[in-house]
Amino acid sequence: MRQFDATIVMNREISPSWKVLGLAWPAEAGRPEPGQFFTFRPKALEPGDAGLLRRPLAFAAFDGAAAFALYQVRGSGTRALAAAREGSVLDVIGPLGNIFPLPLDEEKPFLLGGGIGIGPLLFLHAAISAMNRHLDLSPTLLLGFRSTAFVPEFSTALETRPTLTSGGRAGLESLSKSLSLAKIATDDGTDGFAGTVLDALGAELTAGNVAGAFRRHYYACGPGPMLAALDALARAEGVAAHISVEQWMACGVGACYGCVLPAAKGGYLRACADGPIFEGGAIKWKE
Amino acid sequence: MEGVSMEPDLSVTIGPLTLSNPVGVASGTFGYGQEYGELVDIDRLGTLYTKAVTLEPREGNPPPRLTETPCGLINSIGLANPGLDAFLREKLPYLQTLACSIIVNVAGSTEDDYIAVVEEIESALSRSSPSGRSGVDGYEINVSCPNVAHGGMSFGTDPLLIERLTARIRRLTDRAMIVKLSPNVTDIAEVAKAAEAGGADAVSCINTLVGMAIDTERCRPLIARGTGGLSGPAIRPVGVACTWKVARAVSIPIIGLGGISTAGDALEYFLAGAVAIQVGTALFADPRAPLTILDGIREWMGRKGVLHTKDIAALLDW
Repeated sequence: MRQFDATIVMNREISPSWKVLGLAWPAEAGRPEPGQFFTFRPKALEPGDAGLLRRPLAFAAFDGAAAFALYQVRGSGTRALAAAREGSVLDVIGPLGNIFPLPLDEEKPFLLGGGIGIGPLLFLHAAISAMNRHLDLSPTLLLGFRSTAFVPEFSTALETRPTLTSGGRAGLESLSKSLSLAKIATDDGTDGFAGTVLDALGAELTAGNVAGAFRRHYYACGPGPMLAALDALARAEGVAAHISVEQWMACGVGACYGCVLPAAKGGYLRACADGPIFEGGAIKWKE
Repeated sequence: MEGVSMEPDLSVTIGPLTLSNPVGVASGTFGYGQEYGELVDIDRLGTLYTKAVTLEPREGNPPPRLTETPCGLINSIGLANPGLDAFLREKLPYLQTLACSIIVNVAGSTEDDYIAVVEEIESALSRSSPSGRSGVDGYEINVSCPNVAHGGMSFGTDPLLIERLTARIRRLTDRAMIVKLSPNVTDIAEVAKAAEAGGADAVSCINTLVGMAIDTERCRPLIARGTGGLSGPAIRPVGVACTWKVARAVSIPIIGLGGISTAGDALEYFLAGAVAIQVGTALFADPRAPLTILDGIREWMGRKGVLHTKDIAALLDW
């Protein structure tokens, strides 16, 4: 991990609710891997402003020169981030946290992303796809949204940045490609499968699209109830699962113990340093 | 020497201990050092105040433990720590590799808990080889944590308990002993006097203020335990005022903390009577803050022609 001023190579809206952030990522900072995150300190948040804490964002792509994250403007931190201009610099610490373990040779990966949690799964999808696995073992990416308006769209971002060269274009293309291969589910049925991303998984499994001979491995990131439901499903089925969690953080490096989640075996786990990726069954979800 | 620019001597004396410079990182915000090892040049810090060590391991409070408030942060970690044995086994070896002064923050539920922690650390250090650094240069007695049901702040609000506890610990160690004061009292000067009477080498001024924030949609507190400890720039004027009051009540050194994010903030504490400071919440926004603050203090002292931090308070023109 390093703290450095990263140049913003891209920061723009890609659909009404989504923004994509691209940062020039120097090799000496360390290579971001799927599941990891960085924290940023928006320029507008100076000492004395209402906001004090850095904000964590998960990596959604890395192409060797630039790292990408997807975000939605939800509060003061992301509002300030959205105002940061391309070409300016952002105070960044990363890469932080642990990494999604890749599926075993005989495992068929299912990647489930819900709403704001899709970024790390697009990144993982690109990484697993690059392994050139047998078609039966290729990753199935299922992304759930409230409605069609919340589904991101990268094509305009690519069109508006024809000059984006080594510093970012490959990463953006990778995001776009993974998204084009995703099966979309919407709660209101306005796009793709009508229902939750877990409903979509159930439909996928019963439709027989999956060769039965392979063990499954679930990967997920999204809202708490979705993660709890997936964790319960994985346990009931005896399927391996790895889940990425999101929490408010202060230090982001494991020092302050502010971002904890209750552990199934008792005590607490730090989202930043013990996670953000946890094995199925590790977290004690809210009743 | 008027008008002659001179390099300030940044070292600070706390009882038997000489700190290389007046800037420390506050307990609970810097772990046991290793967590920040890749981000901060720890050897350039004056002092590392460890996360609290209690006799037994503590899981801490249920989440959510953090919430941001205007210019502040409310936390309720609940002294989560691995306990004394794991501290000695897993944390101390790293601390022994550091060049800065190490002050171990000690907490407990009962007076005997505090005694046991100091006693066992002293005994462990006396068994280890005399060569090299001990990794423990002193203790910060945490009698001011607002986030635990027993001990913590209940000690820090009673001058008689403070004096007795301080005196008992004094008999156990020749290392620096610092008492961390709570602002959640009627008269902080009385508590500071009690620490001085008990033999403390210094006081840290201040711990967090009790605070509460409520989510008005869900109609529930934003911290699981209801209230927590408020830190950050919001509390700085309270910390400066407490430092001012304590400086008039005791003759032992004061280590100022509470909302320090810039060198200017630190200098307010020095002008109010502190000789050293700690940076806490500002680290979360920028781990570089303590060393930036140190550079700013050095620059200011050079410009004002002040040789030692203990001489800064005399410049207050009031």
